[in-house]
Amino acid sequence: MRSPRTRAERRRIELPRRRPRRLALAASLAALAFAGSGIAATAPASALSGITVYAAASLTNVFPAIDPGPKYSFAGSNTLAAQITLGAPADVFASANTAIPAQLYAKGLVEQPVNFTRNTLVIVVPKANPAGIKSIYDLTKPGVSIDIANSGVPVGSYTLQILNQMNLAKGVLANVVSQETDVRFVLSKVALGQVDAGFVYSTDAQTVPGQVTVIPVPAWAQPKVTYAMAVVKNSPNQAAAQAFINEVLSKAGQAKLLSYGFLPLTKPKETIATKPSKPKKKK
Amino acid sequence: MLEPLTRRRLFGSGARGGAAVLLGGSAAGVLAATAHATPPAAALGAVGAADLAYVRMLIGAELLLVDFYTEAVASKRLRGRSLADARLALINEGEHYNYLAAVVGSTGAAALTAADVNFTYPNGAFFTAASVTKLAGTLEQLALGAYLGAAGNIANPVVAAAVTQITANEAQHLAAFSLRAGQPAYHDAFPDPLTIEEASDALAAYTS
Repeated sequence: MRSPRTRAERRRIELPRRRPRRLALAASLAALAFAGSGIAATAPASALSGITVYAAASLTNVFPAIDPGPKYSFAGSNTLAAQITLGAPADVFASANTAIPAQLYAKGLVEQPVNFTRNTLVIVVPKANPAGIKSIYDLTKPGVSIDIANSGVPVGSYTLQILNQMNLAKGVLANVVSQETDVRFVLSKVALGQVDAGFVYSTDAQTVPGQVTVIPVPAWAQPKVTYAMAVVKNSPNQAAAQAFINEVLSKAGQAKLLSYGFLPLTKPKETIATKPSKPKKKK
Repeated sequence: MLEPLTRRRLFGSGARGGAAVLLGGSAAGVLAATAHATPPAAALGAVGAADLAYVRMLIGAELLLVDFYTEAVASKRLRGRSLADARLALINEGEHYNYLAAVVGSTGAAALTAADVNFTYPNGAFFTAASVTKLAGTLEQLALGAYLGAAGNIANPVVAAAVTQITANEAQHLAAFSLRAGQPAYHDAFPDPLTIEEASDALAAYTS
């Protein structure tokens, strides 16, 4: 059994270190994000209340909605992976890509990862849209200020992938004024009007309705954004950790992910109407 | 292993099998069954980033057309010559897709697939033969503009040559569906090309 963590260890490991200014931003964003999410402040304790889940920042809203029990630590997937590598006491690791869990698996730090959802990227601009951005191509215009996540974070890597695929990297990166350690910082800077645009997951954009305007990234340039999760190998709570993963993969867990805007692992077959729907007869 | 779906197989002795693929198949199934025309690897040479961006956008356009014609055939709204045109156009678009995907593949990257995109169509698009034919014309006009824009900008000579051939084929489709819709088969001596941005925006109207 693992030795109990000291308070100092908890403080050092469980909260990713951030600059105070960013904490203030995150706090205001979190208040915005949770305002409409319907998550009860006093959620009932679940059977999984003893475990710690390290999860990508983009899962901040949906994971507590799936199960409020575990203790969550949300940050950039690469930051969390680095902490797990250093022995942080996580039981489950959920990443916004498949590459980082695969690396941890290769190092023997986590069990075999499983994919559990998908996402897409969008551009967000402040509601007032002072730069008049209408499409991704406008991001190359001189004077536009752009915020992105750094390339080590999955969303930053996906952003670069989009820009490279569209041959826009040179023009857009010339306008990047800051880079963040996770997607929520990008979102908060755009929502607060500190930059003209940023790249975030579509699910993040939905957490601040009324704060930002969403501009789609062309479907032909979308990267394959697949999330994967795994039980941390040295977790003393293997069964509970696996139970949490099973909960996320369950019908209810998947339905909750869909309700927060995440995509199913496989594209559902759409039915195309070939005749008008008949109006229901009144009895 | 699936035998490639070719014009000969569709309209010749294997017509029943080909038609079954088209009538019952998904866009992904159609693509898997379509003949894989590939660019000559030795002659292709380096494909620059600007060229690849065009190719990726055109792949998006081809996936839309494959999806549309798959739905158009499956809707059973088309009959006779219109149905034959839609089936043949579907095969053509699948061949275009496979060629362009091979260009992307030659760079070591993966091309967009039918499983990666959700397409959406205007309400009522598949209610009647006229609505299907009208949308076919709209989408072929989009494709023609996208290919014309690409043809004028792609630097790699092998890819540019293929894009020019495909442009001609899309123009044929447009002419055919314009006629079916009771319109002239052709209009302008110099049809307008679309910039990559315009083509991308036009495609966005059909994705969800």
